[in-house]
Amino acid sequence: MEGNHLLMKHNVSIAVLAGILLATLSILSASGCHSGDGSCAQGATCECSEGTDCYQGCADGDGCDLYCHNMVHCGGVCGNGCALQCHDVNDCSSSCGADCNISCHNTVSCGAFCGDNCNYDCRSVDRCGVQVGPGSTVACTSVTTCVVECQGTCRVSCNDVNNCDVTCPGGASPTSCTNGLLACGPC
Amino acid sequence: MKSARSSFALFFVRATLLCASMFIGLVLFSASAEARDQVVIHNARTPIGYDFELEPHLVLGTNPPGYGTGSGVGIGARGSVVVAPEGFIRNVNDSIAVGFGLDIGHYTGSWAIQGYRDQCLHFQPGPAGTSICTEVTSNGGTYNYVFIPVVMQWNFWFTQRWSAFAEPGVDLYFLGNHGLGVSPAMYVGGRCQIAERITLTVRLGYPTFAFGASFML
Repeated sequence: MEGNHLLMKHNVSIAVLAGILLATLSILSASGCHSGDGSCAQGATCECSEGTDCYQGCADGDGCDLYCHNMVHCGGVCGNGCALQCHDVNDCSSSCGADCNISCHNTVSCGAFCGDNCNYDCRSVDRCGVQVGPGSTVACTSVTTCVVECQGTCRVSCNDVNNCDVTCPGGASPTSCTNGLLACGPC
Repeated sequence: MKSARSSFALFFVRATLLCASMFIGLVLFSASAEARDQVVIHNARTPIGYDFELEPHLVLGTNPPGYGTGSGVGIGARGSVVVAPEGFIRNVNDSIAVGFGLDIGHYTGSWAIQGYRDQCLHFQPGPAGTSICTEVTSNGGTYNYVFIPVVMQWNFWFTQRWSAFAEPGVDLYFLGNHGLGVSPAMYVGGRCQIAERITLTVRLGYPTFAFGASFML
């Protein structure tokens, strides 16, 4: 009788344990990976401030408005037709597809990979480093070093810049336009 | 983001309450029997004679060490080898074991009690010595942790049925591309005997909570 009772207790314990393990495995299998890159919805303005690091992405790929300020490191990753802005941070990075508007000011460094028809504005920054696609416009204002790598036609304005370095496709030098712009391709 | 955060907060609170209530329920359920238990704290030996404790369990955790964020669930096991059955304190029923284990936890960034932010997954060098993020996590990202806790387990055997323990130590952890790390670990827990050599065991602490069964071998 005592033996049967103990055996029953053992079986109950094993059943409870099996239940716990089964429940855990169910939860694990149900929680798959998320698709997409980032969490900001298309058409939404997503703001990030306070703290140290913030890197935002566009969950729908295109058309996000990513805004980051008053942090140490900020970054935005987006597809086409996005607006990215950051200011009052140490380092700001932007990675965007075509037709993007990017503004970076009052930072130590601004870096960007930007696609075709990019409009990039860099103000009151120590270092600006930008790689842009054809048809882009870059403005560096009150910057110590502005390095622009154009992958097609582009126009660059450097105002109050110590070192303005523009590289055209194939390593060619840019053309100095009469309006003070540097251009790869026609002024 | 707010909805995910609040739903997880609810889930986490419920899970924690479930563990606690199961333990408290057992306490209440066995209250009458417990009253008949002899308090064995005066005895210098453990009431359950064993050399090795094997404890498979379910784990919960939040705010993991290292790169990952959020909260997670998982499974694991702990093995504890009794190294000093007499314990540290004369005439008190304590014992010392060395515990080591393996816990696997799947963490979800959006299941963060204090909210979450996406993180950069990949940087590329840009012009002028800049570093440009080209890939970010989605919804806080997901992180698969492997924990290897190594602890000193200090047991206190209150009665035949009930015991508690404290476990200071370290947790080695492995997180995918981010490699190995070490975190301090501190746990407190309790056991309720449900069979001759089986107890239900709850462990609270950092970096994980655990609920499982101990087999005293």
